[in-house]
Amino acid sequence: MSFSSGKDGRLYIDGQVAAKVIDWSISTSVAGLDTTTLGDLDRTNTAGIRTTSGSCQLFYYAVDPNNTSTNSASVLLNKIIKANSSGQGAESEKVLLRLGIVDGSSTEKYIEGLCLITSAAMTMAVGAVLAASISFEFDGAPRSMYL
Amino acid sequence: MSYPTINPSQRVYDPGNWANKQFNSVSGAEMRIRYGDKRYNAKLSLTYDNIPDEKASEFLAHYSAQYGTYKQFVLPTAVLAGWSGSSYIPDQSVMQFRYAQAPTINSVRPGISTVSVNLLGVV
Repeated sequence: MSFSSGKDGRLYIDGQVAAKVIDWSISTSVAGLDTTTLGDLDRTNTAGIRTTSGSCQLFYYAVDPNNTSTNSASVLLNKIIKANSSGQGAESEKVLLRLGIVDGSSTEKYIEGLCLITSAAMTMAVGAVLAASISFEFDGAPRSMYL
Repeated sequence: MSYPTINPSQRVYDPGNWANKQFNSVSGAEMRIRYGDKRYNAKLSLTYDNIPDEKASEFLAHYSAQYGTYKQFVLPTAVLAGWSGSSYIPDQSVMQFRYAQAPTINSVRPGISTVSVNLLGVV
């Protein structure tokens, strides 16, 4: 058994290892549906809709400055932000994200799924390295996982 | 087929009234004439939140068995779950109930539904 830390984290974007990832997080929640009836003293519930979402931060860094596809932050930004074309921007794209943990075992631990990027933010400031903050929500259940 | 024995999540009861008519004279004085000795037109609305579809379908089956709003039936004591006073549902010899309208089923998620039932007291 071993502990894992940031050095063991991986993020894959459409199957490619993302570069310069600062952090990623994932969260799953289930909405409880109230089944309490008249006469009950304690609330009862049943499982409702499950939501898996997460976020990640990446430095705006390109391995090759002339090729935006080598900039992982740019790849994600281009999935959600679409420039005006014939009156309106194109529809946002979904992206296959894989959040991995290299824990020293023979098989990497991961959770993978098609995600909709729900928000993207970047702040340029003096004394700070430009980075993109991305939030995403899984489209349905994760495609596969091994945790 | 008897009414499903499930505790409701919400219940609204209107006890109805006795048949009577009010008359007002020119002076403004009111006179009332009672035409019957039995209370009628009681209304009972029941909501069953987030129950399994199998239970929800029991309401549809019961509604069909009563030929919709045609036949009257006796309610189980479960409809008064949580009420600690004496039963306010009249004895079946005095009042029974029929559907005021078809039960509505709101599908919440796969396998889970919410059912709303509106009943009318029949003398």
